[in-house]
Amino acid sequence: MKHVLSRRRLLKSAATASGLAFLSACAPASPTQTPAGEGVATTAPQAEATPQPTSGTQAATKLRVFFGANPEEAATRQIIFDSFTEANPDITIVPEIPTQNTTEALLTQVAGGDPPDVVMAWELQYPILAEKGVYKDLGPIIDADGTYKTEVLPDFYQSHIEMYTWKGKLYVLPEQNASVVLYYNKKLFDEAGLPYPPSDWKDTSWTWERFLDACRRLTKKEGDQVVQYGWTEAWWPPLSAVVFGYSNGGHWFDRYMDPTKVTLTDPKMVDAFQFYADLWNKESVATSPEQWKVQAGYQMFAAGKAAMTLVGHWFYPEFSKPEHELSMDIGVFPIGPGGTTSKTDLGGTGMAITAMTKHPDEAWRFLRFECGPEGQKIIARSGLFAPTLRSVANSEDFLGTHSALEHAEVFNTAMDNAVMFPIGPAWDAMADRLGRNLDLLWNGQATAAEAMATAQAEMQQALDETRAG
Amino acid sequence: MTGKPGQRQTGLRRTLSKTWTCYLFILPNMLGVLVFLAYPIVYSFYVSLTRWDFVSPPRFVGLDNYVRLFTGDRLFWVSMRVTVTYVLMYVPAVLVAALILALAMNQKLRGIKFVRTAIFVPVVTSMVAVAIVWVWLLSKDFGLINIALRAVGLPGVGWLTNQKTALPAIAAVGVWKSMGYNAIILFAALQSVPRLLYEAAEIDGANSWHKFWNVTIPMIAPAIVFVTVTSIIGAFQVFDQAFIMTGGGPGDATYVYNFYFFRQAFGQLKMGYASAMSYILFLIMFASAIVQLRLTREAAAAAF
Repeated sequence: MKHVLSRRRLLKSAATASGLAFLSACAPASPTQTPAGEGVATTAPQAEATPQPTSGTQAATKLRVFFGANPEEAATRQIIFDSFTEANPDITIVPEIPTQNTTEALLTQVAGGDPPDVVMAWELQYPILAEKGVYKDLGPIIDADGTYKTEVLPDFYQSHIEMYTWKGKLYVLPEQNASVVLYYNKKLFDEAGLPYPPSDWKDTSWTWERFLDACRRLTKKEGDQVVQYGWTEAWWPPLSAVVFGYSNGGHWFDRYMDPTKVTLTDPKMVDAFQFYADLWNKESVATSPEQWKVQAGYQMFAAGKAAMTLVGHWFYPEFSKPEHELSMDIGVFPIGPGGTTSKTDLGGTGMAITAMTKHPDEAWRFLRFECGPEGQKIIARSGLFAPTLRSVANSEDFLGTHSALEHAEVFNTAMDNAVMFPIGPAWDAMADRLGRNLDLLWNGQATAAEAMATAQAEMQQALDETRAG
Repeated sequence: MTGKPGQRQTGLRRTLSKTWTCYLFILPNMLGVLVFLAYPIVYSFYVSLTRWDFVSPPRFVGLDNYVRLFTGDRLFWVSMRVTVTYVLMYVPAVLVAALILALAMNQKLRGIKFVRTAIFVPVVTSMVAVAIVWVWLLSKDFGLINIALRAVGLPGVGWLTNQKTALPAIAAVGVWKSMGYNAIILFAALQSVPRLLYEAAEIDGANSWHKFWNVTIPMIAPAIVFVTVTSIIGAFQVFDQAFIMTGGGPGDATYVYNFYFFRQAFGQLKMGYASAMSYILFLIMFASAIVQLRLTREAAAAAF
């Protein structure tokens, strides 16, 4: 497996889908990582790339930055670190890349009393750590930083800020916009004589019916063997199905910040999940769970063997590699009969400062750079992430870098059509129950209504237990 | 005779002066055992009586974790049932497979040395690699096993995606992985059975089956007990296959005990709860080992 994606790492621990475990398990350790066993590998900054503090000043402060990344992502990040240290020669960045479950690696360090200073945070995983006091409250720090507060903070998508505010305190600054979009292979659409999926979230002509028809016409068989699929799963199936549910007007929680009630059996959600599972179980126009086990969905899309898939920007660097020769674009999801507009999830990761850091000032200087115009511009130009500042996201820095896509702006418009996932400390426990119960739907051994009723009951129990403490 | 205390001390000192180098040699190992084994074992029992999330200090809650496990936790019982089922599938299968292998290895055949080595390859391969290869082998559409089934006219089976076959499938992988190790132990025992006994049995007119049942089996009984006990302990700890091949699913099908334990500890950061779970597992394994040792001792006493 070539790619360890930060997003995948999130799901490795957030979810237990065997496919994902399989993918993570066969990801090679990056050359900069120590062999298995060590929780965290520390990569030394490249000597020639790290400016040394000018002679006469004190030794540079070592700032430990913890993040999940594959080797390519780590290399891109080094560019950002280098530009930061160039402007801040009194600070040296020591990158720390966990070789395993990020939460586990981070907690081991926290328990050992020696945590990193700055840590990457995932939207679904941060609340459990925030609850335990791992992060510093960024509120007072931002209040003390006038320019950042008045000029940068309002430039973020406010939904992101809301998502990273746990019980009234902002713990994480948005660094990456990771909402999912629909990727499609233009060449395969052309061959089938089909119009491309729209890029307008309000285009009501893009219905499930039209989508299913497209899937059927994009599926090709040679004898018994399907050689090209209309659709492939390339994320975690329950969450993909939830995005279809959002576009069908469904809701699976009473509210998404600190939810109290699971409403997975909302008929609009159930219809969406059944529709999604039928793509392979009934229609045979999508890759099946058996195939997910042996070939990652993103590879099917990258190899031109599936015409459409649903993932975030995090796969763009892979899909846009010249070796795949993909002619692709991104669009929106089909609107279900219960929905009025196309919707996606509010996804993202960010950066936080650990409560125990001995260098809070240096950590903040790094954070305001990374999650500010300068850092975001470098991120945008490198193609690493979709940026989280509106001004950068809508600039040539980002859109120009993604010229392979005619509609790169969909990454940005997604943010105005995004519904959160449940943000709270019960996520891991709920995801475990969700994933296993829905296996039965994906495998065709239960209907959506049956699988989701059991899942809802078990998730509610997990949620109640967590809330009770 | 009344010995003077001084003399005894001198004796002890003399012994020590002769043996202190030996103690010095095992000291690093003993320190390792104390620091990395004994201390964590004791400490984790304390942790099992607390609520601890890794970050804030442990809070003592007495037997609360144990009470909650036994009274209010459906998944605890689910994972226990799945694990016991796994043990019941795995242990007899690995014992029979290892015994057959050991008997085969004990034959004087051409190339048997190569076979003896080949049998050991799965043992030294990492479980992660083994599991990933078996995911491919067991695949419904492209897996070799299903291709073979279809070739003889049988329908393909989604071994890992079907609730009924997922647990037997991961048990089979477990057997494949560890049968070589157990076979080597049984093989060593077979080689140490004196030829004399077989000759005596032959003189008494015993056929091969009689010799196997009345000479071989009793003579290698201690090795069989060893294999059984270690297999049971290993089987209760099954985790890797379930984690990599099925993610605990589909449904509850492969939701083994250690998988639930892992999620409690590192997913939900309930270290106290997870420690209580591991102590329960420890007690079960401890009890089953004692029962087995006693049963075999009685059996051995009855045999002779």
